[in-house]
Amino acid sequence: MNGLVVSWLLIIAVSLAGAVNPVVWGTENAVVLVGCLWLFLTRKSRPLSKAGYLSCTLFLIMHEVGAHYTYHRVPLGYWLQSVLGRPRNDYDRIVHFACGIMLTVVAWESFRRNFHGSVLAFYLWVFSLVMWLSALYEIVEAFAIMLAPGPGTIFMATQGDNFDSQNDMACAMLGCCLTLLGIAISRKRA
Amino acid sequence: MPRFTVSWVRPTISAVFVALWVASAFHTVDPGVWLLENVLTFLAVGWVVATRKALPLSDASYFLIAVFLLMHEVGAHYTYEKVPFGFWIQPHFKLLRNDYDRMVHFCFGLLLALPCYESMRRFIDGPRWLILATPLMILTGFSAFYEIAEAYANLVLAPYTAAAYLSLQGDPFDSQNDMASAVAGSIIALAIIGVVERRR
Repeated sequence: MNGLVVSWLLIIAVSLAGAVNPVVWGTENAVVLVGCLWLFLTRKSRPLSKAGYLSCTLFLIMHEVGAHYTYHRVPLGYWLQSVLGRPRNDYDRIVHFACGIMLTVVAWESFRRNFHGSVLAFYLWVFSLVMWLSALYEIVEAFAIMLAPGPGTIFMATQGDNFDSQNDMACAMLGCCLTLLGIAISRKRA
Repeated sequence: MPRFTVSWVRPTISAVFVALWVASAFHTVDPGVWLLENVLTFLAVGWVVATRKALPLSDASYFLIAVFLLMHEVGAHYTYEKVPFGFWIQPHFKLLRNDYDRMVHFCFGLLLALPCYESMRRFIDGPRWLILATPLMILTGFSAFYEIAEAYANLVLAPYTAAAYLSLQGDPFDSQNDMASAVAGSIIALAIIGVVERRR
């Protein structure tokens, strides 16, 4: 557990060093703070498996890369843009997808024991949780742009996509559904 | 689990609902839009009928579901952006657009919280906050799913960006406002449910 805390702090520190836009970095990391607070408060009552904490770590690295460069300027995204001929830097979409996977794993491990009867109800619940958090994130983004148009626009990062919020949520939904499918298959085999 | 169940209530709700539902199909502003909007109604009615034995709800829940679906049918009949009630309230609240769709998004959270709560609580064995938060998650989650489905349906059915954008009525934060309306509606309903359950 101590190793986990040290490595997460290290990842966050590296991301902060020389961040392109410190205000945007702070906003992106407010989300990280909420997530870490949840994991810290539930570390005894709802502990995750090693795979669960690993998925959180991988997601943290991806998100901190986005926070460091501000999402729409991540080099990997530019490279993908030129290779795939996309109209925008799609790094944020990749992270929304990864977020769907991470949240599904965390939600599954944290709340499985609170559900009994039909496992279908729990699949529905996990799907709803991921979609709910995605929707909340999009709503908060919209408020950020209303409160602070400059940094808010960078934080929102629609990059000219009229259906940006729907596409973001669809990526998370895809990550969630694929993870639930994987869980369902592994449960059947077990 | 169902409370306040009276024998004549469900047949009455069903009969009135079906009569008004059928009526909404006549003289619609745009039959294509009516059909598209009613995909949702057919799914919802199918779900309610299919789960009436396995997940029985209270009369109050069936009533709330019927009221919500009929509000949706009004939107389907006139197409949402042309509902007369929306035009009527527009000057009173100085609104920039016909906000009838926002009201229905709000009522999605407000009216369906109780049915959702009754459906899900039997599966959950945990703290009260988890049971109360579940309908909020499910209703907001489905709002998000609806926004995605709506956007992609628009892109497929009206490939011209201008036409696709029309349904947003010029609101760049349309999807966020729709989802926030559902969040507000379900929080209000769940606060009421929480208080009533505590008094019981």
